[in-house]
Amino acid sequence: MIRDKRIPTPKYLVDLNAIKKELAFIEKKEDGIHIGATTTLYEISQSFLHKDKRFAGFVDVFKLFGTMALRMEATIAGNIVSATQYNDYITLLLVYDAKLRIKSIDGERIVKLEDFLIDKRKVDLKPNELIYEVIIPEPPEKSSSSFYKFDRRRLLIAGVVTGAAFLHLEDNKIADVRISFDMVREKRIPARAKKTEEFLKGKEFSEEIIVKAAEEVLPTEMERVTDWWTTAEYRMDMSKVVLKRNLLRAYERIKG
Amino acid sequence: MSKPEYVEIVEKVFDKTKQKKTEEFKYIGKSIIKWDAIDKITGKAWFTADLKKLFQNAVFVYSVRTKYAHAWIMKIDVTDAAKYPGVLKVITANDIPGINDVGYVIPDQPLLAYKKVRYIGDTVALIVAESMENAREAAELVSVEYEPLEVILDPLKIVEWGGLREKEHTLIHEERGSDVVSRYKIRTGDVKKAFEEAAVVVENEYRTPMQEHAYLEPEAALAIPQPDGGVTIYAKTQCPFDTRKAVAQVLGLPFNKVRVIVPPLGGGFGGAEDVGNEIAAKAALAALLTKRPAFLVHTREESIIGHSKRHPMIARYKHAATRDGRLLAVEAEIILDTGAYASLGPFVGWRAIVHSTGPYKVPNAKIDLAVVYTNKVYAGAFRGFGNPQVTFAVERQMDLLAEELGMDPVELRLKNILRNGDRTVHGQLLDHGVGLEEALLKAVEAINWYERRKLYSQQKGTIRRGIGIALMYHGNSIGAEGADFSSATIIIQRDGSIVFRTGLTDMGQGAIQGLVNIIAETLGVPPSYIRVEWPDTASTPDAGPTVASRSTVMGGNATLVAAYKLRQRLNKLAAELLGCDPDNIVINAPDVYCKNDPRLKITWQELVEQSFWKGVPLQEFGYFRAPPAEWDEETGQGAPYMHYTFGAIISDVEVDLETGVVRVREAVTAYDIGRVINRVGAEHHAVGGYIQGMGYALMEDLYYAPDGRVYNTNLSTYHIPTGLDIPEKIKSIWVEAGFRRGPYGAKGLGEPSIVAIAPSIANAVAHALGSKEANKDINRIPLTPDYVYSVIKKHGLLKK
Amino acid sequence: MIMMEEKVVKVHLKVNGKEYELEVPPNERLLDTLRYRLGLTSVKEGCGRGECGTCIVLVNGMPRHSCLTLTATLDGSEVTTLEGLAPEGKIHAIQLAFLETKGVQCGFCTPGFILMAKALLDKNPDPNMEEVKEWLSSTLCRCGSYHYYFAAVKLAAKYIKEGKIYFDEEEVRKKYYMKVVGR
Repeated sequence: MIRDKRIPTPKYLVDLNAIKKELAFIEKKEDGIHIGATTTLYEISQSFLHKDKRFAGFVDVFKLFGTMALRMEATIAGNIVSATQYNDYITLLLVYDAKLRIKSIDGERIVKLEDFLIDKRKVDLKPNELIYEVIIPEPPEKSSSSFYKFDRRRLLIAGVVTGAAFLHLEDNKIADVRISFDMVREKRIPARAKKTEEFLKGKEFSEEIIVKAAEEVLPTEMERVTDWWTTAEYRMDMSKVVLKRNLLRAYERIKG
Repeated sequence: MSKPEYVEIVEKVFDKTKQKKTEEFKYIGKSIIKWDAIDKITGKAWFTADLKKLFQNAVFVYSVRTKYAHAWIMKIDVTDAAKYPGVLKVITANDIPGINDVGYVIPDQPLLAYKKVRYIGDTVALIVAESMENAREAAELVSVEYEPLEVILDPLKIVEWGGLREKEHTLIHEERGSDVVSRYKIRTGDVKKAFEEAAVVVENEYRTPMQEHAYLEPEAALAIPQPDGGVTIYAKTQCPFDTRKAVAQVLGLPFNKVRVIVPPLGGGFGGAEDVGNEIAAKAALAALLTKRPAFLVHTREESIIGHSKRHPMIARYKHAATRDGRLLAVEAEIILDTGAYASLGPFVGWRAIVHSTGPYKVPNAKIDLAVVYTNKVYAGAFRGFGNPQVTFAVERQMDLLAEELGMDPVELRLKNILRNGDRTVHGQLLDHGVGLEEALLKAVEAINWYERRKLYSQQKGTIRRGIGIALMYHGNSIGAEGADFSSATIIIQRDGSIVFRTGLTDMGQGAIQGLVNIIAETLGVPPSYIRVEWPDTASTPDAGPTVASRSTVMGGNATLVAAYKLRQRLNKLAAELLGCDPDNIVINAPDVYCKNDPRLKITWQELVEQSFWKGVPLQEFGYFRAPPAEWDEETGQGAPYMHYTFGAIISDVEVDLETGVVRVREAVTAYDIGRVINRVGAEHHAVGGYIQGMGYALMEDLYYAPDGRVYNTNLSTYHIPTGLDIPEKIKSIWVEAGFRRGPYGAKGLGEPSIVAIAPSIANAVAHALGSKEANKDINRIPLTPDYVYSVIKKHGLLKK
Repeated sequence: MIMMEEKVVKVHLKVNGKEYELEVPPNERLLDTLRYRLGLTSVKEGCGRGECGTCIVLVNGMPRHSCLTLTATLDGSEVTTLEGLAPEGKIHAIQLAFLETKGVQCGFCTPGFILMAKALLDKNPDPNMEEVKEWLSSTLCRCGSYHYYFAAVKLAAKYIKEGKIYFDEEEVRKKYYMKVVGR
């Protein structure tokens, strides 16, 4: 970015490598899963998260993120502060209601990821602050997630549409559901499709209800854009497909 | 006129070996570890930019490019840039000592724009500085006053259907008075009558994209000023002699004061032609003006906006056939968009028209083709050179026709393909070496065509498979495009080792290994005796350009001629020394002996040593010139190429009807390349060409903003296939129908390997969709998910 | 903290087993340090943005895009490029496997592929094909040698399992330079 002159050369560059080890951790605590800011995506993939079906979406996103080499360099917080629609881990973490612990010499604060994201490349982080960790409330039993994106090729893609879904079932009833996309409307940053969530909550899970949510509810809260890569119409149609596929896959994972 | 000696040699070798099976050769057709492979796996191979480390005091050259895609230049002010720290010189058009032009075929392309800019990559000034950072920063200070002009990106704004007449428009090349670069036509038979009498007619419009070579090595050049005022340039170029000519012209120097040396290329695919001239000229200019070694290397972004592309095509095709599936006529109008400069456009257009009816017997044809300027990045050479574009249209037409007739696509093709004794649409008699039918049948058998075709036709559900076929032919070498010659030098050293020099470059696919195999087979020495030198205009004879699938055929013939002559001399000397007949000498280095009495023997090294004592010269220069091509501009009749490579490709794809995503699952390629010379290289072409063609079919295109800027200037937005996109299996099949004027019967494969990939995939996609209405809409590539989905949606194919 | 306005930053690096005390500008990329300061030109620049994978090196054993890495951040690290994969005069089993499977075409992407293979085999000496594809797809290859490279990793794994790690380069050259290896 600096080389492309898209951002000015900063006066100082804080190199977090010195505290890389300290901030690279994945721990289960009472209030949820804590992922240290400099934990790489690869390190996450080696953790219990990738073995627990309640976090199945982490496996999906990992396999679709950049390339293997990039997954070994990219950190979870790095992905979050970049704050674009292409930062796949944001899309996924939104459906886990993730929070961030932010620290500075003045103290620390906890902010919801959703509130942290202000706009594209704009986040709620002061110059003297840094993200310390990501906290994911531990999901209940009988829950799972799914992440999906696709494009012309399989790898190194932005994705025509990116979407994640978290599903919690009680028997066959949708006890909780959270849905996110690379964008929903206006801001080109990942966001939740809350109307669709509300529509689904409390209903019996069925293919029909999923289709209805995708075809009838999602379009009422989503507005897609046309750009040189593809059209708003295609993105909208694919958002529906991604929603359906994510929910069905999460469902199968819970049942399976 | 008697036949030249070199033609006689090539024919003699062919006649003598044509019955011999490829397995029976010692080196021809064998899998041989390539000459440069060990250097490459150890990381020791030097690519152009790597040489920079040897010149610590080199200066950096950076191109200041235009901000507008079409504008008059009112004023260029470099005062501030010249004063910037570290800047040694800012070069503009006024500083060019020679002619400010690097146009490849016609002089329409200034090296440094001074009056007008015509595309977003045009260079207005060069900064020469102590570091790349200095140069880039100083570039910001070059102030240019422009008067913007209308930006034309649509070739249909230049010409119109129904004769391809030029329309009123803002001229891009006002100095030429027209934005049509060249026109070609084919007129044969009575097309009007054929269409009237035809039982079936299919017509459609086709579009193909502007493909980027995306070789992984960005362009680089390093120029070193010489004491005598000359310059030596290491550059990424496919055609060192063309590069030398361009540099000499820009610098106003005689050819012998410009030396171009070509280190290994990190891929070329046709893209390292014009831009090689451009970067070499820029670096050379900087070197001469600053009297220091000058280094230029492109970033990926500069590479994408600054080098030639594959010509996009828009074409309208109309095919007529009888009820039983015999082709009666083809009528077509074809527009090739050459972007801002002609580059090789005129030749690309010519190759396109030659191949515009496919490898079929076509009794009546009326084809018109125009190559036009727009304000896009200029289009030039790219593997296939106009043929992939027209073959996409032709092979889609054949499938539409098959559907219209209710015939299997393979059956329809079998009825119409060229065979031995047939004449091409140009009236050229193909009296031997047409292996198309064999290729087609072998491919069909290998993939179990009929069974799969039937099985896939019965599918329901969201994920569907489809199988498609496409055929191709491709004229070998440059035909009527220009002087078609090549040359090679073999020097046997006194210790028996051999130096091989040719001005043809190995772009990585192994062309030069093929030549080594020819030397080894002909001389009877193991290939490991041979060392390949880098192409160097000062120490290799002009071999012509490394283009047009001509390395194995043309370079191979020249090499064969040189090796053959040396062998004759060695046989004669050995015969004298051993006391048997020259024809009786067997060389199987290190052993040389008489066939009828193997006890009469001498070692290779002794034979070589004796040659020095007996005055037998052990260096030979081989030359070969192709028979002159014939082409009638008015009718497109004649014999455009000396011969053709043939091929049949079958692709098996999977289409996700909900998303429009297409993935290739499996593929078979079958090529008639006359004779397999270099097996590893041939497979690399078959597989690598397929993958590149798959990118062309499914994902690759360059996208422009209305103002002419390119949107996708890097490898995350310009999609090429990754390791996860390739089909599980690509099977390569070889047909060896022979060619009397090819070395040991060989024909070229470099370009043919991409020609029919996209239509085979498109035909498979159409098959998977299983709808006659949708079939006609699969008329453009790339078949991106959104486009395929739009077709599915339009025809309601998803509703179960 | 790196002061971007400072002229130079001192960095201690171990590259291919050799110790270096370097003074580099704070914004210098590892790619440039390796290529232009240390002359290790097996490290290629294909895109400068972490997309093509031709600049991949190993930093403390892990793959790293040297074009995305500032040298100043690597103080105390160990870097391996293709030149240092095997001791002087030797060829690593992975390199030999890449040679024997005959996939090398233009060779510009090959270093990235080989180093990625090394990182994979260090972590997992017996990867399945899916893992090989996933790891090796970190580098783009425009010549289309992917199938060959994937096969090479499987072959390399076999050599390493058999304890054959290093091969004498001279012997390899003698045995393979333009030698007939198949039909």
